[in-house]
Amino acid sequence: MFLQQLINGLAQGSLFALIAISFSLVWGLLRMVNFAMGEVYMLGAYAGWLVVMYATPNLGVALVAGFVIGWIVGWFIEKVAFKAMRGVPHIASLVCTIGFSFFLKELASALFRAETKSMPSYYSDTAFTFAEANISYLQIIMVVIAVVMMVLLQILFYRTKIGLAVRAVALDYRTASLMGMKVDRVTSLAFSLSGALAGFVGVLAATYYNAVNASMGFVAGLKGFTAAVFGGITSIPGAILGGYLLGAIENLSVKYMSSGYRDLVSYFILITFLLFRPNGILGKKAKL
Amino acid sequence: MALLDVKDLVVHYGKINALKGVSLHLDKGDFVTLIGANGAGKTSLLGALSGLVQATSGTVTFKGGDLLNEAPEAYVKGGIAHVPEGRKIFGELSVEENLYAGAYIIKDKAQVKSLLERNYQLFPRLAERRKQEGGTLSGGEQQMLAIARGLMSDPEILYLDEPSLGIAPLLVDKIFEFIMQINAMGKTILLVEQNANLALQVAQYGYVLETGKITHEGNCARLREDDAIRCAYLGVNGNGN
Repeated sequence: MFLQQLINGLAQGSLFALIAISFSLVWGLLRMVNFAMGEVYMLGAYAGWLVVMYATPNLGVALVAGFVIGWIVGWFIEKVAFKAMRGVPHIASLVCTIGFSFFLKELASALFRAETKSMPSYYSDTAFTFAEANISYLQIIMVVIAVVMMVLLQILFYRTKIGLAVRAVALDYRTASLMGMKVDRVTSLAFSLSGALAGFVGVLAATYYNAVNASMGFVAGLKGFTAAVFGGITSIPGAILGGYLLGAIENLSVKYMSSGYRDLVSYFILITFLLFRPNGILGKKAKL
Repeated sequence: MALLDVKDLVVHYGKINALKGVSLHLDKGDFVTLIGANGAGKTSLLGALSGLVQATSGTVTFKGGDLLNEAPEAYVKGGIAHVPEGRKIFGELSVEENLYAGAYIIKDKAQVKSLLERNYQLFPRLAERRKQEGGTLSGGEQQMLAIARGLMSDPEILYLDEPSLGIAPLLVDKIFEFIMQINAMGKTILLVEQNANLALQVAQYGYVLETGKITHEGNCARLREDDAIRCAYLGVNGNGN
């Protein structure tokens, strides 16, 4: 039972970790939180659902659709909530992303109606049983996809020229512009990428929970944000660690407490860390 | 033809008139300095000459092309590198990554490599610390890194904004030796300095900026003898020897 919950936690932690990375990408560049991230994830989930219901049952195509929709929505949010609001106090952008969060949620319930759509199962068979714990193919696939995504991001940021530009712009955009880096383009690219990641995870989550609905983004966004704060929003490794730890803690809390306490545990972590250690476990000193 | 020709440049910050019609020019290979007190508009001028600051009016001609109010990348691509005041090293990037960032506009990888090697030869200290985070270097080393990073775009003109600021006196001499060496390599230099004494010794031609206007210009040797300048900037009494 302990092992089973840990495995479930690992799979769910992969989802949290990827959303957390989305948050930390935006934070790194703009010192800002995109509170509509959960809704981008929700729209990605719908995109994936539409693909498997009406186009092709291929889950890979669904994931790509989630990625693309997330990219487009992320790009749009950046243009409206950040680029158009440059030079005004940060709080305006923040409130604007909250506005986006409500807008996108209402848009989705208008388009798809309020009821939960069921997403077909994929790879839900048990791959193997170990000490009475069942591990499904999907769980293994989720962890592998998450790890591959993280490695790809690591390569993108640390081995490519555009990655160097993203890091330089995040550290000091004025000086980066003196090197000929196109600050607006780099920012837009990283923002879109964070949206794409959220949309992609949305499809993964829809498959894991077999469900898609307009309000699924709210809790996912909060959990992803919690994971990022927990591990350290200033660093991608921190966001990953936070995601997996949160997944493990949540699922173990189900074992040792009632399952009703699951979200309570997460928000307790969020509030505690925001109050006492806003830099998270791995985060460097917050530079605001 | 002048390499960089600036005429009647006016810059406003809101209602503040930071530059009130500044003209200057640089020829190829020149070592020119711009001196002036804090708040005279030196940094605004460099900003307007590298696309960081929008000018209200005037002309900026570089190699015959108009660059006024272009984006910063147009200046770097044209061949101007701006080493900003306070060094502005990317603290969490390694020394080498800082240098690669400086070469961002250069597409040819072989050229980037050879620029990197040339900089490591010029600044062996940086070669020793290539893997270290930029923020962990001493002030003097950071200044060397900032200059090297500027050279990574293989510029024709290098602007240096207050390279002596906040650096141990012993290292200041060292840095200025490097700057002279870079000028000897054929790079045109525009040095902005508060330390007028030093600047007028190393440069050939000087401009004096006072509250947004050029009040004096001339060969540095002559400026050093000018009573008004000696009095205001070199800390010597006008009648003294």
